Amino acid sequence: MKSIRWFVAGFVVMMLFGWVIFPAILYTHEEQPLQFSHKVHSGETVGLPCQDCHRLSADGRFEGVPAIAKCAECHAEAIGSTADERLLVEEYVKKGREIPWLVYARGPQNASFPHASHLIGAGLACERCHGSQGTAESLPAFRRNRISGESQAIWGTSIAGFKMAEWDGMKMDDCARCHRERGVANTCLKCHK
Amino acid sequence: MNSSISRRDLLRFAGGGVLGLLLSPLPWKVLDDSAIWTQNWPWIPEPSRGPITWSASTCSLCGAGCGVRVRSSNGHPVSLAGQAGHPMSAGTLCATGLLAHHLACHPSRVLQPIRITNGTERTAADMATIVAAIHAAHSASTSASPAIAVIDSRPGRAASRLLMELAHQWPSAAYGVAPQAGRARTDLIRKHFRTAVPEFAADIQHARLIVSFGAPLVDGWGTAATARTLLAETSAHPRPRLIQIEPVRSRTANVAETWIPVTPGTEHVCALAIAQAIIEGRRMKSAVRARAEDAAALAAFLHDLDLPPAVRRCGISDARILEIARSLSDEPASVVVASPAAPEEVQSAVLLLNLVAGTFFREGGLRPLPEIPGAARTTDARTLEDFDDHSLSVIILDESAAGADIPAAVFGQKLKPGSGIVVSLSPFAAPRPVPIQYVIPAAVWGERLTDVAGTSPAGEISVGLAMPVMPARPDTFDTAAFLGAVTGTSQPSTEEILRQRIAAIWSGRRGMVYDPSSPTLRPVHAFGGTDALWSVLQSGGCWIDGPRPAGSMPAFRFLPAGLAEHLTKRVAATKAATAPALALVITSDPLRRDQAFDATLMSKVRDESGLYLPCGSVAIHPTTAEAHNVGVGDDATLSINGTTLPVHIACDSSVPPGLVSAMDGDGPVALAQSKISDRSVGSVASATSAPSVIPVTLWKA
Repeated sequence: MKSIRWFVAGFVVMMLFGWVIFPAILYTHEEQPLQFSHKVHSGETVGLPCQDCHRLSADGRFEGVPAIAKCAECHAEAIGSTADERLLVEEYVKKGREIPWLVYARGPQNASFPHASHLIGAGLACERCHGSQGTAESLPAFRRNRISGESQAIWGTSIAGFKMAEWDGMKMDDCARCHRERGVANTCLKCHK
Repeated sequence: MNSSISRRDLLRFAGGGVLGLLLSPLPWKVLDDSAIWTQNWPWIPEPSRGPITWSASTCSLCGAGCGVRVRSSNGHPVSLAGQAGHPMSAGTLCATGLLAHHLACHPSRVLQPIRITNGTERTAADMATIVAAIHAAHSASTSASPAIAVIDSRPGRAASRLLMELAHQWPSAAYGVAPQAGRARTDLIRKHFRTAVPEFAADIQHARLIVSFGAPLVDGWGTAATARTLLAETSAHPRPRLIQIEPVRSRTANVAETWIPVTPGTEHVCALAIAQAIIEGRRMKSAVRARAEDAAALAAFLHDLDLPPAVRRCGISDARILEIARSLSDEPASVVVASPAAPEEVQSAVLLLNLVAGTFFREGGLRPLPEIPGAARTTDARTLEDFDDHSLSVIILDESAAGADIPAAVFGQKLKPGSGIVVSLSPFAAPRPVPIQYVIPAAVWGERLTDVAGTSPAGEISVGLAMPVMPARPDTFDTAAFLGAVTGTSQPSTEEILRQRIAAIWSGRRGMVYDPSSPTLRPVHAFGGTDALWSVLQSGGCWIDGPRPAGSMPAFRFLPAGLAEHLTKRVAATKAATAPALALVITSDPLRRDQAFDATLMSKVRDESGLYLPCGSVAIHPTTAEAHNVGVGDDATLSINGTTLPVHIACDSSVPPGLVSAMDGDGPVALAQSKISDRSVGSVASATSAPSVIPVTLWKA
């Protein structure tokens, strides 16, 4: 019985380490330069559609995170009295500095993702890949994989790689699966630069 | 109760821990993340983030002039594709061209002048030292023969004119060209005609029947568009009938309608037998007979050769030879081609067959190549072999465009013993057996503006511009800048000399221009002037010579001086040859021919695909292996004329029994090639299985 106890103890300790402690130490916790509420901007308070800030340019190029000039259209002066609002106006808008956002969905450098083909061509909703990000009250901490350097959003929230939701994870497998389901070509150069 | 922890407990704990670890995501996640980490070494170039843009250009890696669509991220090319409507390439690109943008980061890339000693040791060199060495050779030259050879790896470029001018400016220097694939064949063709004839190209695009003697038609013989012409079947363009006569089942033989295995070394007999069948079957066209000065003499010559005993050695039945003869005479758009590496008697016999079948000056046959407007005439320029032995103090080798394929032994033969140096202008310094002392860094494709003069599968010539699509490395040179540094004079810029070429095209008002923005072909005279032409070519278009009449056949001789004697001797040798235990066939890997210009990713894909026999291996049929008591993967020694090479034995059922197939390339076989003659006798000795020695006769395919 004693022999099994030691074996089980080793088993449990390493299972705990692998499933609980390892994920906690694998990813960094990096705070965004300032807080931003998608809920306020896209909800009833302001009511902006996603495309107002994250828009496709005339040539079909996705402009991604908006430049500070876009923020300045409304925030030339502070709206409200929060610390983040002050920081936005004083440090970024007035100084014309871009905000060094940590982009959760930024994929590896060797692949490209044309938003135009996915939004217009395939008719996918933003939520298909970004989940409820567009209605979140605050920005969660950015979690960077200490080994690969990629955002946790690429691998997904489950350390085992299980998909917890349709939007969870943007690995090559996820892209390939979606392409396969929709009968879209899965050749290397379709995505890889 | 004993609470002490024994060693056994610890082992149990560790055992449980290992099992627990394996059932947790830790090892698998670490493995996955580490794999990603290893893709992001600091020295691996990172594709830039930024706007994705498309531009059009022309590939300049070879003379085909394929149209390229460049996809760039933040102004840096990230992928290449063919231009769908391009008249030279019809949307295709070869494996190397698809990854041309990787060449800027090639492991053999040089970015500063280097000195190479003992073949492999590289040290940084000073440009001033190299220039001083060239000047010293120039000023010390007193003899009447040139002391400096300026060798152009890709004649026909606008920059070729600059190299010629340098040779004119310096009395001690002479311009030369690297051996061109079609040069020897052109010389052989000219012997048949009393009047001057231009170069000829096979009109593959319009041919309905192609008889190929080992020509790697779909494997690097022409352009990617040539392969497409042969492989793709469309309602507008049905596939031509291809008869491949070759000892081994090559990739071209695989896609041919008919593959006829032939005994190595008897291809010329086969070609002569087909020619004889046409003549004796009274199938020679009257137009050919009318222009030939010695039709009767040819018939008598072929009769006197007494071919049947030699034909039996070919391994081809008389019925098959008659069938090919009938097809060639019945099909007006037919052509016979030979591998550029085939020996002279095969080339001569194939030309003779083309003359008998009347394929010259015919659509779908052999058509004359017109000259490119504004190009310096280089068809009569000498090659490095033509210079006097041990006469050169300096060989300046312009390898900024791939193309130089000069046997290593020639350098040693032409340089002054002990003091001669070779200076190469090249983007790469891959180890190779050429005794180059200095390498001046050149730009790779996409870094600097250059031009490409190509030939289409229809034998049409074209001119395109390879545009800069990425920032040029500051310390690299193009031909103009290099010559400026050598002569210390101001040379016209590449753009200036290219504009002169475009002006010559405009003033000639000849041909058509492909505009990728439309995409259409418009006649040159429809453009407003040189600037409009320049603008279209800059945006990835190309000038292509317009449709032209095939021309008329001038008077010719079937048997120019010396040909009858040469062929008689070779046919007699074939009859007298005793059958070797095995014939060694060395085939060349077209993508390995110039390793430096080989994209590393594509080399890896190709090497791991198993499509090509790796260098350092020889392949034999399983029954041959069994008969000679050798096994798969055996280490063996290939000995040819005293040159001993370690090789591995691979069994391949596509190699006919009785043959040993080896791949030419950058491996030991390539080194051996420089030391062996056409028909060397050697052996393959297996060291792994029971010792056995297989005598072989080398045959260069």
